[in-house]
Amino acid sequence: MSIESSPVAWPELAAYVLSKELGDGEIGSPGGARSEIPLAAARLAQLTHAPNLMIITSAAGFVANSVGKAPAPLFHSTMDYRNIYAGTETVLNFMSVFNTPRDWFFAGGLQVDSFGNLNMTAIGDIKAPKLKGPGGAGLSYASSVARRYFIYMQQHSKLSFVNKLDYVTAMGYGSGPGDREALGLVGGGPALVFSPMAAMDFCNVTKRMRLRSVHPGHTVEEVLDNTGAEIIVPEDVPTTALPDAETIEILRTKVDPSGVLQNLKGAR
Amino acid sequence: MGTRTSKLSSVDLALDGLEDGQTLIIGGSLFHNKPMYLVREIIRRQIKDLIVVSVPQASIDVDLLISAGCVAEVRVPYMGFEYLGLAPSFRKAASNGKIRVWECDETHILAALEASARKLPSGIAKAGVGTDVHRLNPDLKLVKDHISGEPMTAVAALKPDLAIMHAAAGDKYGNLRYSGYSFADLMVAEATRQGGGKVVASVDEVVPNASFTKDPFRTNISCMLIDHVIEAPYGAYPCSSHGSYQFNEAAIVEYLNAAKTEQGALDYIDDHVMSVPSHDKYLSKHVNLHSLIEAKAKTYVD
Repeated sequence: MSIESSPVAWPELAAYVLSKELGDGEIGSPGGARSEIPLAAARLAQLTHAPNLMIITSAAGFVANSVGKAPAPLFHSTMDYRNIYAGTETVLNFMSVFNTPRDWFFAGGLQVDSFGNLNMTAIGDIKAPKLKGPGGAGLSYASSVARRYFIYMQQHSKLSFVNKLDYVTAMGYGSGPGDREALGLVGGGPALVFSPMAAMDFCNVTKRMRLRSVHPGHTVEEVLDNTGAEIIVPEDVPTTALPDAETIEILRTKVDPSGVLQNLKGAR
Repeated sequence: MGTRTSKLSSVDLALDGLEDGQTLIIGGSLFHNKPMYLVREIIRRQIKDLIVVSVPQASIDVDLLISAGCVAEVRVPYMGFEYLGLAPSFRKAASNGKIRVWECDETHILAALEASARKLPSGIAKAGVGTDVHRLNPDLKLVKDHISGEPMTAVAALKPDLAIMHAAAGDKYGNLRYSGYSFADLMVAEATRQGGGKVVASVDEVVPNASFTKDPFRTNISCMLIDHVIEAPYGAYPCSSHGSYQFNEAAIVEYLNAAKTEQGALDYIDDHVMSVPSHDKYLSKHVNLHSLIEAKAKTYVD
């Protein structure tokens, strides 16, 4: 069954897979242009295996935990004031937003390369770019200090997965092992990349991106045909596991009761 | 005994001294607490070649100034409309060379503002190390930390000529209170004031000074940092006054659709700025009562 015709929409699968990456007792921030996905992932983690996880909705400083609280709608923007009703217990002052180390955060990008470096700056010559991106936001800072981070790409194509970025906005593993340490970047680097076709992690030894699983309805060949970056393909690549019925119910009744994820553009 | 000076001002007085080429910093973030009334007033004055700064995020505030031809350089870590898409006039103007983009990370601007607030020559950040930002923005210097020797990014103190911001409530002396988040506004005001610039706040409502003395723990920004207060009910519209009323998504999308073409953007500016010479007239022409009632109601989840 393909994701398109399966009962679970791509953003829901993303939220589920990413939720499993988040550990109990951690502190993290959802972010990126489609912050509904990581916000849902973090709330789902709180309501399943990580009841002590704390979410900081970065730029508005809301510190939230959903455990034992009434379900709240999932809003498109993490800065939306209404997120104050979604289990927010503390509002950090603005500098504390930057002074609170994160175990994880989420990032998007125009381009990602084989070592998890990200481009948010521009595609093409900077003086006359084909596409001017929104800018670095706080990605370079966050990626320099967070214990690890997750990258979610809204498209999986040769234009977005490339061997060489047009510009490096945030450094992942640079050009391989040892690069982060050499520059004094204390954070651990990217842990996972999620796209509409596949999930990819990074080889511990080479730091190169590695195909971890392919979503239902897609094949390894299709992923490689749409990947411009050189990635490691293990002999056996499993299909991304779908959430079970109980998890889907939590996702749809407690995390995202109004169905925002199912109705995101390109969700199906 | 002398009389304490009121800072309640006309917009003419508040924006007096703003000149072509100056550095303007805008408070709020994304679609929240953006002083849109003051943005429209700056456009109306046809100020050119501004260096526009906002942290962490800007959307319609800076994009509208670009559409109106007021901007020479953008210093904003994230310039876009989040889930509603990229910033149309910013993208176009950056692609055809009409504006310069000062590429940066949030912590570069924060370090530059902190330096100004503390009267230091420069600030320091780790961000940028291992990236192309130093090549793209020569104002950001790749340096060695004085103590450890590790690579860092240094940035000169940023001293804006004018700061504009929007709060839910203020008194005539300039004390400000926010209903929701105040984002970087305190630091924006501190950096601008200590750097020798002027700080102007619009407020949805001017309230008695007693409303601040009654609960000073709830004052977000002190009158010591504010030069002018302007009462502008719904002065952030179509953005939110965080916690008081929501942003109007349809009105923001209306701008995004208009700004798809240069002519569309100019027509929008004519319709929303030039043809409405006062805030009252703007509210009468573009804001209907129902959308405001809805915007207020939408700040609650029950």
